[in-house]
Amino acid sequence: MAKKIDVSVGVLDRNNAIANEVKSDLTARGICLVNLLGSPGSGKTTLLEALVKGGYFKGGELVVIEGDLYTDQDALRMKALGVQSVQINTQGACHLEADSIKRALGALDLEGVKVVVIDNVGNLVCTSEFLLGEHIRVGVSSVTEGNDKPTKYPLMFQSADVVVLNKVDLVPYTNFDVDRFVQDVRGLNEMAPIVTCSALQGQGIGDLVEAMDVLG
Amino acid sequence: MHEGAVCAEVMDIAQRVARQNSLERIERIVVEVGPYSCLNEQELNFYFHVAQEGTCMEGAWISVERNDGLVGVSQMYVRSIEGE
Repeated sequence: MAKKIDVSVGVLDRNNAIANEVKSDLTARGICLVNLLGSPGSGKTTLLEALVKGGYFKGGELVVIEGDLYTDQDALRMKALGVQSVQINTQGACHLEADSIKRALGALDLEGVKVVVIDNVGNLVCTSEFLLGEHIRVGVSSVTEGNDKPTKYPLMFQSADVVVLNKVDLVPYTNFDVDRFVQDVRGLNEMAPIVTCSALQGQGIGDLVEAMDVLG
Repeated sequence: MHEGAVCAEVMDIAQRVARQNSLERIERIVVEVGPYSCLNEQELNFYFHVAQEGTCMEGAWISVERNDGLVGVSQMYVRSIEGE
């Protein structure tokens, strides 16, 4: 006789339990974990480079966990700036999970570190669903992607604590409607500061540091 | 896009529930998701069909039901398991 068992178990409970463990461990050590999300080419790594070049962090205060499908190109970019970084290769998987962050943190020297940034796999869909133990979630979108991304990929914009619009120096060369972008983000997320930046030009990076409030 | 990872978690949960309730065979699993959860029923079952071979879930189907009241990250729940 077939029977139906009613349950209510979160599908991602196992991941989220590890994420909570990562978060409380870092909180106890006075370290802030930032999850940097966005589509491929939105400028996540370039933003990190701009943060380092801008001198907002003293040597060693900022470290990076690089997420990428196959390569270590981004970790090498951070190392070239003297930033301690560890690479996670997902071997094709579209997102990072909390257990890989836990392992990566174990591979870092966290002495004197104030901020750990996860430079997530470039993906607007899957990465948003997985909590990694972050204190702050920063969602990056860029002008060249078009202003329709918030309505097309709502979860990232809805779940972000800070939304970055990158490559704003290119607005005059495109049909990007900044007001529409801001309005669409606000429709999903009333609270998150929306910071406009050009990582390449070093524009708006101070505003981003302020919005993230990671050095508090 | 992340249905493979979700499938593995759902199967773990189903196996646990089956053990606790002395089910020898699972026929249907219902998963409830929020409107923005990006979980596709067909793709989830593509993985499930491959992974269920040789398990107590052979021939089973995962139904994905949408609940607009679930908002935010990680809003995916196993709601029921049917079997005997």
